[in-house]
Order: sequence, then structure tokens, then C-alpha cells
Amino acid sequence: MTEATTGAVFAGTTWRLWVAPLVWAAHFLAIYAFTALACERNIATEGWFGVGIVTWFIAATTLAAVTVLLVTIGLAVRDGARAHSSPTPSAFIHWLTAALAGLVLLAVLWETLLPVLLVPVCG
Amino acid sequence: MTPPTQLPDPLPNPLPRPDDELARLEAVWKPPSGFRLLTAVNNTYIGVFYVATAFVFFLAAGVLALLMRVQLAVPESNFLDQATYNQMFTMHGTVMMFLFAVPVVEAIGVLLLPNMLGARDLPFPRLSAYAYWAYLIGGVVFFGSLFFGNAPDGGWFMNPPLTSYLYSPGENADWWLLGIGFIEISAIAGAIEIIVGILRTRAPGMSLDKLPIYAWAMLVFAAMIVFAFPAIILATMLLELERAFHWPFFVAELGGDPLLWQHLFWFFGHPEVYIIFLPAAGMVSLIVPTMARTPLIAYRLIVLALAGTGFLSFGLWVHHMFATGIPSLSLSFFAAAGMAVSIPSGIQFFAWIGTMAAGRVQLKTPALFVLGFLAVFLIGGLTGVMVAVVPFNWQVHDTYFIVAHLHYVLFGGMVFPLFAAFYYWAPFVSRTQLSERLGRWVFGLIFVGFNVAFFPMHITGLAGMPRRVYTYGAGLGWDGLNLISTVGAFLIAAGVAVFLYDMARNFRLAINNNAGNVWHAGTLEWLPTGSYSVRSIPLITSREPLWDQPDLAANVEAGRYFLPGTATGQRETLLTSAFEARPESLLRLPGPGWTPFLAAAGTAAFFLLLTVKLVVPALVGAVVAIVMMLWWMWGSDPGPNHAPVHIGAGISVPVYVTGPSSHSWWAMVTLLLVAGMLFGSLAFSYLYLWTVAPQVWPAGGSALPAPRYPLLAGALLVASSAAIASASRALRATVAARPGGHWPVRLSIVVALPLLVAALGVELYGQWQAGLRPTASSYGAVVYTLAALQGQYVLSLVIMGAYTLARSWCGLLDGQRRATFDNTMLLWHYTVAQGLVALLLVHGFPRTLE
Repeated sequence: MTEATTGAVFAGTTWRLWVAPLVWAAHFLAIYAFTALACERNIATEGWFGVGIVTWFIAATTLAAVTVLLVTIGLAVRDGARAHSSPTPSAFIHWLTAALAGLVLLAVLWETLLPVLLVPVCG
Repeated sequence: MTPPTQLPDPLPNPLPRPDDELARLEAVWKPPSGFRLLTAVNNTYIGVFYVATAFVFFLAAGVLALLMRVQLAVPESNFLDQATYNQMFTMHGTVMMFLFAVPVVEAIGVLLLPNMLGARDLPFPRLSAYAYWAYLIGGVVFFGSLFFGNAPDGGWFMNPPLTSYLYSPGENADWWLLGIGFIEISAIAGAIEIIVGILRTRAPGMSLDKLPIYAWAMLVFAAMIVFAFPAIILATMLLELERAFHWPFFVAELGGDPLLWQHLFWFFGHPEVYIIFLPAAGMVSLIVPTMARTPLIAYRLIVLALAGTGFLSFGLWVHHMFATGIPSLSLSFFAAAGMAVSIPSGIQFFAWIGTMAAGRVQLKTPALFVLGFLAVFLIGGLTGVMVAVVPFNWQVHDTYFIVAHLHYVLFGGMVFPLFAAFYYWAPFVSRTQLSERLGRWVFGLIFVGFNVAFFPMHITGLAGMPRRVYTYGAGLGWDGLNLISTVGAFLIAAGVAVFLYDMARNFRLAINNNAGNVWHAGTLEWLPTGSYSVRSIPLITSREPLWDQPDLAANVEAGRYFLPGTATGQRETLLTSAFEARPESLLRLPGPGWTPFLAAAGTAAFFLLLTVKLVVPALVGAVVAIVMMLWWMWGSDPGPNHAPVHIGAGISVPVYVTGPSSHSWWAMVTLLLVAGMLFGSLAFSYLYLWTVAPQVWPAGGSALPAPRYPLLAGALLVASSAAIASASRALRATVAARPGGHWPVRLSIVVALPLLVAALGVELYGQWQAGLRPTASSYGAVVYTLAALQGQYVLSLVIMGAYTLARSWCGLLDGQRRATFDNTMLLWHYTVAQGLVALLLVHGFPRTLE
């Protein structure tokens, strides 16, 4: 492996390590900010098909987050299996990438499904 | 060059070693003595000073706690008056959090990490020394304000409006804002040092999957500081601007909002709990396997837990604001995040318990403190889940239940592991171990005392006693409970006194001749050591090298591994790749010098004199600090003036590297993350203030500066970056021997500087022309603060640009020797990018409003 490809592989693998935390942060900030704005500007009562605008927004962002996380897990598992055949520390990074994405998946679902189902929006 | 991943045979360097090799190594690492110890920069010395200073602050804040407990022992006591009591609880919390907890865990990292990673020192020894001295001077002066009745008294979280100019007109709050704000800078300096140290100075072979868990914990800790501390720095800036110049960020009638402070404070404040806890958990993860004599189980899951805690804890800041009227759905996001973060903590708990079950635990003092930690922190964690439940939180908000909870978390999660660490690592820096017999007394007294003091507070709180009251009436059901708490506090003090006696009797500082591996531990800090760290830098093949390579210590000491002496005649350490730890280059390190101490004194003088409104002397301090920093920087870009050196095993590494291979590049990128977070927090403040007070925002752009102003400012910024990019290209072609080829580089820098300044000037002029004033509304205040933040970077770049030009004129900058230019260029492009985003926000966002 040449120096250049070593660098490229390093950047590619560690970059993916940041996907899960960034998805979590973006999702969390988005749903928090949108809910706050909807309540502040009195638009939380609007909606379509009997579902409020906040719930629509949360559902859409959660779906997007879950999709990115599942793709990340899939790619990490695939590359991890490849790295396993020639044992290098990168197998560990792939594992960590997938595991972090799994943890974030749990957190994202836990932080949205339960509150949306149980709690009134502006209260 | 393909460094080996398995042990080479024979080892990297043959015996016998040259006669003078060890003597030369000892000579370059010889520490200064007498009063010249002020010039020491070696991590071992700075680490010991740092830990000792932080512990003194622990004692000082502990004395304040005892005085408060005396006051509260009986109802209607007159031991302390209300004003003094307010200063004491503010200082107790502030000193414990900012002058003890964060510095002490950072200090232990400075002390242990190089040895644990097989490095000779941290990559920026003078930065560690600077951070330490700034902290010491700032901390002592800050604490001293108490003796003049001038200490802050608004609570450790300093909520406005109580702490703003109207209700706190004296200097008390300014001590907090300027004093703590600047001590945070020292924490960030330490964090950058730790990140680069862990990622770039590990022993060959110590790939990330073989990194000791403590180093993982410190890596996450330092990353959390990078992301969390800018929010508090911004908050202190805003409140100080409001106090000093009446820019109304937190004044409701002018469109400000006191809750903005709480958002910023707790965006730092909640992760802060984990910033303190994670290093402690890392220590526990090293102590438990040694005490149980078996490797830590679930290594990978613990790394996951550390990383997971690192970011999930940022989703908890509103946890502290459940009673502020935030929409109930939003509250439940934070409640759920609060519960989610207990998963990673649970993983670590089970891993520690599992490791203890898998081995045979020796119940020595460090193990006792770890067991105490598990019990106490568990209770704190469980009450944490209770207060994450919104309705319960409303019931106990601002009561002694919270005081009990936070002490179980912080004392349990950090002070117990810290005492475990003191007993465990004392032999690393002392000729003798601490006493096992006295250690048991220390543990017993602190453990019993802690629970006697703080457990009853849960009940006192449920019975309705509010926090921060200096006294209470008799017969409310709180009398007996408070008396018991006071007795417990003195039991803790007795335990600490026995610890001090143990230290006085048994601790004898020894960097070169320590007690050795008394616990038979497996990690590298227990290798034979001197002020140069290890004699030769080992090749690592597992997570517990001392257990798996029985001859490692002897071979390291004999100089059979890498770099057994000094290759360049200077202090040096190996730079390895961030991921697999392959040797990449040799980093020459600076020796003792006065510049870090004087720069720290200048910085402290600037902030502290500003607090008492002595503006001219403060500016003199700033000039001293900047001159000292430039002086120390002048020699730190030596260029390729040394041939590549052989480190052993046929590996030859360069002595000078630039760009992403250079340690300074990594530090600069980390600093830019700090800068990005600071700007992000300010952009959040802008949008937050618009959310709460849209009436002071110029809707539709009618009251905004004409579009030609932002367009011109943007164009100037882009042109400035382009000039620097062109300087970079021109520099590539230059060689030191041909001075004539340097003028395009200099010309480009000379052109780029005024463009940057002009862009800022155009923005300020445009806003002023449009009639905007910073004191008129929160909108004006935040717009001018965005410009002021930009101005701060522009000022830095004026200094750095002039410095880069000076190096060029002195023949110290060319196509190869360009680390100085590269770092300036990184900050330059960042500043331009930040300026463009700020223009877009300030001029674009209001135009989207109706």
C-alpha cells in the first residue's frame, strides 16, 4: 500500500466515524429548534391529515436520520468484514463506526418516538 | 518504510549501547533547579505542579464548604452573614468546578499520558507550562477576591439578570467573568495538547485498538472541551459586554433574554459533568484490571461507551432548565436524551464489575476507593435518571435534593476515583508508596463522611429546603438532618487530613528514581523512567505490554528499542501516524525557558487588571504576553536543517515535516474547531434572540445597510483569501538560497492584510450608517458582537501576518521551511469563511423575514 492510499483510507474510515455523532447532533438540534419555533410563533396547531406540523417535521427528520445511520452501519459492516480477512486496526474502526451508528439509532428513536407519542407539543 | 507490526528479532537496536548515549540523553532532559524551576517545561514537572495546585484549590474550596456547613448546622445561625455566605457558595462551586475538577484531571493527563503512550513528553511542552502558570496566577488572584469581600456572589452559574449591571453593580461578578473566562483558555490549551499528544506521539505499534482506555477517555475528554468550552467563553463575553458597555443581550425590555445565558451556560455545563467524569472513569479502567490481575473485559464496548457519552451528553443541557417554561415536547427530548446517556455509563459499570468478577481483586486502597466510587456514583446516576423525569424534576428543582444528587455524581464520580488514582499512581512520582494502613483510614472516613453528609440532603430536599439559603427557621423538619450533614462534612475533612498526613510522611517526589511497578500493572507508565520518560521507545504489540512482553522493561531500559538516545542533541520524541502508530518523523522539543511563564503572567495581568478597570496596565500585560509568545515561536520552526535520523530496526525518519504531517498543523486544526464552536454558539445566540424578540429585528431589509456593503465586504474577504492562496503557491517555488524569489510571497501577504481589515471596516461602517447601535437592542448588540468576534481574528492575523513577513525577511521562510506560513494560512482561510457566513447571516437572514 502506498503512502497516498494509506492516507486516503485513513481519512475515509475516520470520516465515517463522525457520521453517527453528527447525524445525532443535527437531528437533535433540528427537532428542538423546530418545536421551539412552532410553539413561539403559534403554528404548532397547523397540520395535514390530522397530524400536526411538528409531528410531520419530526417524522421526516427522523426518517432521514435513520436512513443515513442504516447506510453507515451497512457500509461499516461490509468494510469490516473485508478488513477482517487481513487483520488490521481498521477492523476496529469499522466496528466502532457501526456500533456508534447503532447507539445513535437507539438514541434517535428513543428521543423522538416516545415523546411524540406521549407528550403534547407546546404544553 | 514499513514498520513492523510484530516484534522484530533481533530488537530494533543492538547491544552494547555507546558509552555516552545515556549520559547525553540525561543531559538534554536535565531539569532546571532552584528558582529556575519556573522555566521547567517537561510534562513530569509541570504535571506534578499542576496536580498539587489543583489539590490546594480542592482544600481551599473544601474549607469554604466546612464554613457553610457550620453556618447551616443549626437554624437561625449567625456564624456567617448573608453576603459572605453568598460569596462562599459561589466560590465553593466555582473553585471546585473550574479550579479543581477540570484542571486536576487535565493535570493527571499531562503527568501520565506521555509515559503511558511511550512518548518522551507532550508535543507542546511550553504550551502546557503556559497553561499551568496562567491557571496558577489567575486562580490565586481569583480566590484572593474572597479576602476583600469582593468575590462573585451570584451562584456558580451566574444567572443574569441577578449578575448583570443592575443588580450586581460592583466588581464581584467581573472577577468571575474575566477570571474564569481566561482560565478556560488554559483548559482549551491543555485539551489541544492532549489531543495531538494522543493522536500523534504514541509508541510504534500502539494502534488505536491498543490504546489504553485511559488515553481513550482523555481523547474524548479533550474533544468535549473543544466543543463545550467555547459556549461558556462566549457567554462570559456577552455578559461582560452587557455589564461593561450595556449591550443588552439579557435585558428583556430591549429584546434580550436571560434564558440565553442559561442555554449557553448549560450547553457547556452539562457536558462539563462528563468532562470531569470520563477521565475518572478512564483511571478506574486502568486501576480495576491491575487490582483484579486480569485484562479489562469488553474493551471495544468501553470505547463505544466513552465516545457515546462524549456526544450524547451534549443533548442534556435543557436538563437544567426544566422549570423555565420551555415547550413540553422539547423538554421530553432532553428527558429522553438524559435516559439514553445512561446506557454508555451502564456499559462501563458492567465492564468494571465483570472484570472484578473475572479476576481476584486485591483489596488495596485504590481498589477500596474504586468500590466506593461504584456505590456512590451509582446512587448519583439513579437520582440523575429521577431528575431527568420532568414532573419529578419540577418537584425537587432548586432544593437540597439537587445538592445531594450533584455531589453524589461529582464527588462519587470524580473525587473517589481521584483518591484511588493518588494511591495507585503515587509510586510513579514518589520514591515510596503511600501507606496502606493510613489509606484505609482515609477511605473509611471519606466514604462514611460523604454518605453521612450528603445522603440526608435527599430527604432535606424532599422536605422542601431550598438551595443557597444562608439560614432557615427552626421546626421545619430540617434541623436534625442539617446537623447530621455537618457532622458528615467534618468526617470527610478528617479523612482528607489523614491523607495529607500520609502524603507528608510517605510521599517523596522522585522523577528519576520512583518506587517502580509496585502493583505489577500492565501499562507503559510503569516502565523504568527518568525525566526523559523511557530510555528507548518500545514497540507495542498488545494492550497490556508489560504483562505480555515479560522482558520489555529490561530491554527498554537497556536501550534496545527505538531512539535509545538523543539523535539530534536536543529533546525529542517520535511522531507516529494517528491510526496505526507507524513512525513518521522525529519531533524536536524545546527545553526550559522563561517565555511560557512570562507569557502566562502577561495574560493573567491583562485579564485581571481589566477586571479592576486598570486599562493601561492591562494593555501592557497583553503586549508582554504577545511578545513572549512571538519570542517562543521564533525558534520553533527550525526547518530541514538536520539529516533524517535512524531510530532503530533500519528505520530512518525525517526531522522536519510540514502540512498534515506536522504536529502544529494538527493543533491548528483543533484550534479551528474551537473557533468554529465559538462562532456557532454566537450564531445560535443571534437566531435565539430573534426567536424570542422578533420585534427588534429589521424585517424585510428596510433598516439594513444597503446590499453594496455586504457585497463589497464579501468580495474583499474572498480577495484576501485568494492573495494568501497565491502566496502559498509562490512560496512553494522559493528556496532559502535564493532570496530574490521571495518578493511574490511577501507582496501577496502585504496585499491580503489590508483587504481583511477593510472587509471588517466596510461591515462596521455599513451597520453604523444604517443607524444600528449596539446598546439600543439585543439585535444591535449581537450584530456588533459578530463583527467584534471577526475583529478578534483579524487582529490575530495582523500579528501573525506581520510575524510571517518578518520570518520571510529574516530568511526563515521558504518552500521547505513553511510550517509558520501553513498555520497562518489555515487561520486566514477560516477567518474569511467565518466572515462570509456572518455576512450571510446578518444581511441575508433578516431579508427573508416578512
